[in-house]
Amino acid sequence: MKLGLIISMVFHSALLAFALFSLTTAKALKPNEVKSIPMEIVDISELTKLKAGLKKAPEKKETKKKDQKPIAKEIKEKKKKKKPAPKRAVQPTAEKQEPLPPKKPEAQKKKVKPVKKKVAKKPKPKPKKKTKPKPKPKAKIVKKKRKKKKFNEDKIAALLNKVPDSGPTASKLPDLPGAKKVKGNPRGKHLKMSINEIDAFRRRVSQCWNPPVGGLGAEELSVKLRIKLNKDGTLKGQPRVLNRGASSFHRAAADSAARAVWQCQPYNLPARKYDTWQDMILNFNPRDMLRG
Amino acid sequence: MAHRTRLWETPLQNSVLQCNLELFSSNLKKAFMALITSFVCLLGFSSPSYAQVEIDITEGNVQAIPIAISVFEGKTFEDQRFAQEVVQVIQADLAGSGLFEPLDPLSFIQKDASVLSVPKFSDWRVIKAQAVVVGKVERLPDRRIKAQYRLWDVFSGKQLSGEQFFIENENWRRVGHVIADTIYKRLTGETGYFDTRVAFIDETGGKKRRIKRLAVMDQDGHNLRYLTQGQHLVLTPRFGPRADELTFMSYESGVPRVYLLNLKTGLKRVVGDFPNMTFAPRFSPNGQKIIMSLQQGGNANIFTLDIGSKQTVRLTNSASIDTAPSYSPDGKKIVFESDRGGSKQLYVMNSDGSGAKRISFGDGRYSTPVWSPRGDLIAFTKQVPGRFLIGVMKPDGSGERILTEGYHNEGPTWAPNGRVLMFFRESPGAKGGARIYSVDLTGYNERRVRTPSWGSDPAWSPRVNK
Repeated sequence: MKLGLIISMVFHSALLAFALFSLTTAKALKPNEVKSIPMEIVDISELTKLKAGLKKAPEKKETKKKDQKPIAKEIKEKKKKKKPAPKRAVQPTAEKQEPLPPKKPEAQKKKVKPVKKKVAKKPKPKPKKKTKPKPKPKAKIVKKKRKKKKFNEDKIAALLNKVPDSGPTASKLPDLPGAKKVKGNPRGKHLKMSINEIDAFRRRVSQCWNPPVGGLGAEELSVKLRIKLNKDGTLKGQPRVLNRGASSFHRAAADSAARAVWQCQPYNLPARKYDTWQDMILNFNPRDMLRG
Repeated sequence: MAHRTRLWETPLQNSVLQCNLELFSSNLKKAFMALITSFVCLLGFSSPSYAQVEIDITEGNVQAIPIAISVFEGKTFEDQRFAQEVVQVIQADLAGSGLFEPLDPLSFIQKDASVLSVPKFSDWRVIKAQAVVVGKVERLPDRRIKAQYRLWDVFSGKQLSGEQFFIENENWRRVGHVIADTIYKRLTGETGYFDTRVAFIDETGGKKRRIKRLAVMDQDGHNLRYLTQGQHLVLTPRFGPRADELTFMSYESGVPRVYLLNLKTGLKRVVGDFPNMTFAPRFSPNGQKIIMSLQQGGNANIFTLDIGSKQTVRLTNSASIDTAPSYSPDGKKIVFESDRGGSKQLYVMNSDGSGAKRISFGDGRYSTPVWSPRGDLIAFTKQVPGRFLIGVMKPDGSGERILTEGYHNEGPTWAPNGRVLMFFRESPGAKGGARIYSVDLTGYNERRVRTPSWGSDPAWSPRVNK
């Protein structure tokens, strides 16, 4: 009896000691931190149809600011001035480099030189895409290139034809002041709220919406509300209920929807898309809540 | 309640109405002009030419509505004290529903909110109130109370409702219940249930020598009144459709019999002249019949008795115990429990007794079915090993949902709006007893109903003044 007890104690203490010393040394399992990647889901039409405007529409005056950077669209205008400028094209680099900021003249020269070579060898202006987001010096390089291109007018014309197809250039236009040179409505009638923007707005309103779900399963809870917003995201006037219902459920639901819209204002919506969200229709229906 | 008038309702400025008015012109010229006007009106309503963004909001954030019930006005000091008590009744009713969160009066910024002026909405927005109630009560020399109130939407600044009504002095708590009912209906869409009463069996004394008395009280536990003195066992009280009559089973004559009691006159009489025990009575929706079970040997069958003509009609004839019948609100169907299939289950039949069809198929035994006043659900007691559950299902037996469970839950009864249930729950042990609870259809907001002692067999009344 005693022997068994002793053996048991010895083995148990051995086991405990083993666990105490060996298991503690085991490495803690640290899960890899997975950082969420912020994503913006953008409708493709925002890129492709952004500039859709009327060609005959009057050009906006504010586009003639001096400090505007040259952009792809200017190329079209320069097209007409090509012929009187061949001589200027011979010494463009010297003239243009003079006014450059004196801090890094060498670096810019270095950048300029390969461009020259490239232009000489390959008239195809691939660097054009690179020039777009870069600061002034690069933009001037583009001008140089254009002047160089005049040596081979047929190829330049071909390149110019491709400009409208260059997606990235077009997509950047609304962010640049030069973008306003597009004829017609610079915002374009195809400018839409992105899925993310709609989702953020929906979430905001949902947080404030306290639907009267006492009437579980009541179909009368569906409310179509028209709201108008000011540019600062505040409500402009009273929301209007578009679907009338006779029941007290509908009345209570309509009030709760209007209360949600009032309560959550102002809304943080993209100012450049004001035309799209200044007047909206919200369909309130707690179907997802009643499903469970 | 003598008068109930709707006051201060803002006239609805509706351009559709204006358009229609113009269309009712008498001569042709006017009719033509009206046509043009209506066209212009239509243009006004037409949607803009550009594509309008439409967003679906399909989820919300359900929470109790924060509501501020401001201090009601009173002419005299006595009136002011009385007004304060009315406010407390409203607060208790709304808080008890679980759908409202009455805000603490100490947090109010605007202290002088009056029934005659528009509240300072900015002050109420600061304390996160979504609606504000202002009111005034006045005790008149003719032993009546004059009550006025307005319910405002704090965000839109709209008046949602406004009323003036009179109530007899002795029923002063009803002032609060009536106002709470209107607030409840206006903000949730549901009919309120605060101005209602509950009949129940009051139980006192030890478990072995318990005295059971028939009692009736307001749904919040006030104004308790005993209808029997406890000499005889009474069970299963049920209200009539006008809330002025009760039917129940009593052992008064030695044999269990169904009785009918007029709450106004206090007159009590036996229903029908049956040779055996009658039990589980309930009124038909129009109040002209009582449906109940009659014991026949080891079986029980369902009968109806016309209160006026005393004519009885047998609805079931089976070698089983058919009991606990309950009419659908339209009076066309009857749900009842029966053990004809071997165990207690729920059946639905036509009101003439034909076409009985089993509707409960889950595990366990089902009993005490009650058809909702809205007609959309049937509440029941379900017994599974070791537990009693209170649940609801659709009249075809689908969509069974359990709302609450416990050691011994039984006897559900519907609030007149069909969204809240009361039932009794018995606690185990020698010192245990039955208590009445309420629970809403979501299964949340379970609350104990205030009773002076133990209480069982609750029966919720219809709305006192519809």
